Amino acid sequence: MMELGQDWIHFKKFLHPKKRGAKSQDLKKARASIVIQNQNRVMQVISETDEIYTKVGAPLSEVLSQLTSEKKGAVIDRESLDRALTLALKGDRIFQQMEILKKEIKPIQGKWESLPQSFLLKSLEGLWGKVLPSQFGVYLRFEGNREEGSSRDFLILFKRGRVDQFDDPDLSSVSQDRQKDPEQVIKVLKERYGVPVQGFVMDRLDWVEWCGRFENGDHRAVWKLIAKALRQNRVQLAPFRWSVASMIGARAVFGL
Amino acid sequence: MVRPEKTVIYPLQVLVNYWATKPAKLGIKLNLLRRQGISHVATFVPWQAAEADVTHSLHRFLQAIVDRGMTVSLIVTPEVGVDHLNSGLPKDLFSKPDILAKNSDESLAISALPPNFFALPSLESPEFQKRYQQYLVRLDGILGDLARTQPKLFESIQVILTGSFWKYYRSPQTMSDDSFNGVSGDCSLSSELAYRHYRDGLFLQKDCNSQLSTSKFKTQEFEPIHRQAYAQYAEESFRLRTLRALRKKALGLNLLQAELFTPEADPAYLYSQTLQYVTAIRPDFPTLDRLITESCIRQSYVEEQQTTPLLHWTSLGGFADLSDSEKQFLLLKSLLLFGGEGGSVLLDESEWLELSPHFKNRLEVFSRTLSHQELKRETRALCLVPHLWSNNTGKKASFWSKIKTVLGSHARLVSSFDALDSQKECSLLFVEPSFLLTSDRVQKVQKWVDQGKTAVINLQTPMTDAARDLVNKLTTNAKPLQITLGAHYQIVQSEQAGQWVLWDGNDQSTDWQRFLNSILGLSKIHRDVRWSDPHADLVQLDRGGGKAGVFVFNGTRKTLAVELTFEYEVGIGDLATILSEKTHASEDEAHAKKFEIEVPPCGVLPFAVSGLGEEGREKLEAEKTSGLTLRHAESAATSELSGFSMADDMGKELGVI
Repeated sequence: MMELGQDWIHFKKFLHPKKRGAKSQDLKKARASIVIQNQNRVMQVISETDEIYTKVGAPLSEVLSQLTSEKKGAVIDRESLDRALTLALKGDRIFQQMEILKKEIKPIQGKWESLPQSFLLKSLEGLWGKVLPSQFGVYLRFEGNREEGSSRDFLILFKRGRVDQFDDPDLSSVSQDRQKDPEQVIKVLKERYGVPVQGFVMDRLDWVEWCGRFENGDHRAVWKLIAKALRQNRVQLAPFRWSVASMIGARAVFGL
Repeated sequence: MVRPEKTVIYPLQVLVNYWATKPAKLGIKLNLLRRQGISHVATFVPWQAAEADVTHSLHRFLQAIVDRGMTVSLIVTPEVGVDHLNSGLPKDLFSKPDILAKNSDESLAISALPPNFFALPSLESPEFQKRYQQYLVRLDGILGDLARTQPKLFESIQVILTGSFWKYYRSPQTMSDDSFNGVSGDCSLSSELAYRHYRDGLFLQKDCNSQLSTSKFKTQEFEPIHRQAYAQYAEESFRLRTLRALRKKALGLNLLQAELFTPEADPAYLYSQTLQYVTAIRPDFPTLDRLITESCIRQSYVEEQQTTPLLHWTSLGGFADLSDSEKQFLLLKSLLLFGGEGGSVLLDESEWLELSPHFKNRLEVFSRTLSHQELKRETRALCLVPHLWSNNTGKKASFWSKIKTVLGSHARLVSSFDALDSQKECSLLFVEPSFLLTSDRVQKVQKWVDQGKTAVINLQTPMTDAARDLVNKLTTNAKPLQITLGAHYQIVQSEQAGQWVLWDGNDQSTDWQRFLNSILGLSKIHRDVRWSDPHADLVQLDRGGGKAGVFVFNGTRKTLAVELTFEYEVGIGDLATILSEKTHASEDEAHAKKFEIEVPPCGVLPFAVSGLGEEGREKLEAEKTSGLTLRHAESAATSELSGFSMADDMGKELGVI
């Protein structure tokens, strides 16, 4: 079986797409701060508030009141960060290492917002992961609107319910005619990587809209929109599997 | 974009990861870049990818480049921030735990950028060196074959050698606004053994040979000084070994020695990057901003030549998640600081494609100007330190921490005496008290002074007996001038109109501002412009003839009202308009000594300033007088000649329009 690899740049661009012009809006979001402390002194600050940067080297008590007045202020211990980093080195790949970091790094004071997950990964690594095969692939293809130079295809391979590999699949051996047919592409991918692959063909703008709504906390609406797009043939399943369609439906209606 | 000539480098280069691009898409990608006017790209050659290149992807990439009439820079030294497992290092290197480098606090030096976290290996480990030499031999063979069989393709290649991991052997635990604070360097077992060998050799040198010197310098007090000197020596030796290995078969290879810096992989950014994987906190923009400035003022030398400074923005770390305005701010700032020094900014192709056409156009205008050296970053003062990536003077007062706040990007930190020969226009040298002065080194500084320049040393700087004798002779041979301005110091004039400034003070007894101002005045260095708000940053690039490009940066999240105060009255106009329209636009200039401006958050305001320095002031006066004469002539003509208009043909013929 072939190795797919891990193309982090494309992975982020596919699973966390951003609308043009929307990025500058991020600055207006709630102002979060994280203070890294070492022996009760402020060692480093990561903040969206400029003033707190002047506190580097100051006693921790000097910034605590400022942090607690912010809704998303947190303090983390330097030693625990070092420990987590050393443990993360035991993992082979970035996702495995991120899991270790998430488990090990906890604030000692205050709280922070966790890293937003893609709606697709949250579902596939969550409840669905328990009913899906131990190894499988998800093939995403965008039709219609695309930015110049951006990729059209992306394949994610899952192993034991977790992301394993991800990359732009190599379809150079598939003729242009066969490439147009997603089901033909799926057959090739299945043979090449030795796992069942489910394809989703959709418009990029729809995908960007769903990802954005999920990241903004509108979780249920996303699956309703996908179910609706499926009914309107704006999303194509390749191959069409009733089981997959019903899982999407159940998620849209019951949140399962 | 223009192609780089031999040893010349374009200020902005797009990076293409050839090994990560599917063969069918490589041509499409290059065609797209070509359509956007890019004729030169850069790429890393990951060690692992080059060794296990069964599909000859590097050769196919080079062929695709030459087929499109493009040229390429290949970065072949191991570097961080490469989108390859272990940043391209072969996996088998990590099978032995002894191979890993250790920071001065015994922690591992970690790179936290995707596709995986890994601990940096020790570049001095025998296992690493053995495997690395094998890789270089293979690479030399590949390039040698190309030179023999495909000379046209070989001609289109520029090979870049960098300083590799040395600068990243630093602990992230610093509670300071200086990311290079403390003693850095590899402290692994193999490095320790090599250091001891070096130190033993040091004591056999002529200067240290007397019993007194040997016992003095063997004490614990001098350990940080020797370590810093060794770290510099080890890095330079590594560079020379790499250089020699690549000159065996690939004769005539276009080689460029560069200093590549990747802020997102820097230890100062390690904790921020790690927290990006766990929390929704936005990337640490201020640290990235600070790292650009801190890296561009450090200047390394190889084989008596200054290396080309390069800065790499990856698509892997925090840079990719910044807002558009933050990205544009960092890109412009790094382009001006690195491009102004003859260097370059490397930007991943996916990031380049996402930039707006308007901003790309802006970058292009500045890149073109920088590549024609119409904007240059001047060096006004050098500060000599034993190690470029350390900052440790112990209990002794540091010149560098003060001089960098006064001169900003006009000051340079160097660790090689070669800088003294190459910086012809610079006239002021500070020797940090962490630098061990030998008689040979004192003589080199004397050579600098004999060129009519100024050298400042702290008399508490460690010196060998022979060096101390030479310094003492300075004050006995010529009667020193005793000065008290901010601190008490002595000036010893050389016969060639240069001067030594001998200072024996400390932080407590020194009014640094007055002291440094007096030194700057002594060496005729002017601060052309001061700005009122310390939150703003200012970069001044020389345009020749008393003109400069002055860029005001606001890296904060609020609008800043900044007052610019020039030493004398100057003319000020919009630099972007002047550069894009290629006009002098002197008629649009405002003249004054003080200017009040508002800089928006993440804003960069470029100004064209004229009338700087003596030459500039004379030109400005001449222009103003000529303008006044013109206005008088116009007024006289209008009153005497009925129907005269400046807009008609006569006016044009008179050359007044």
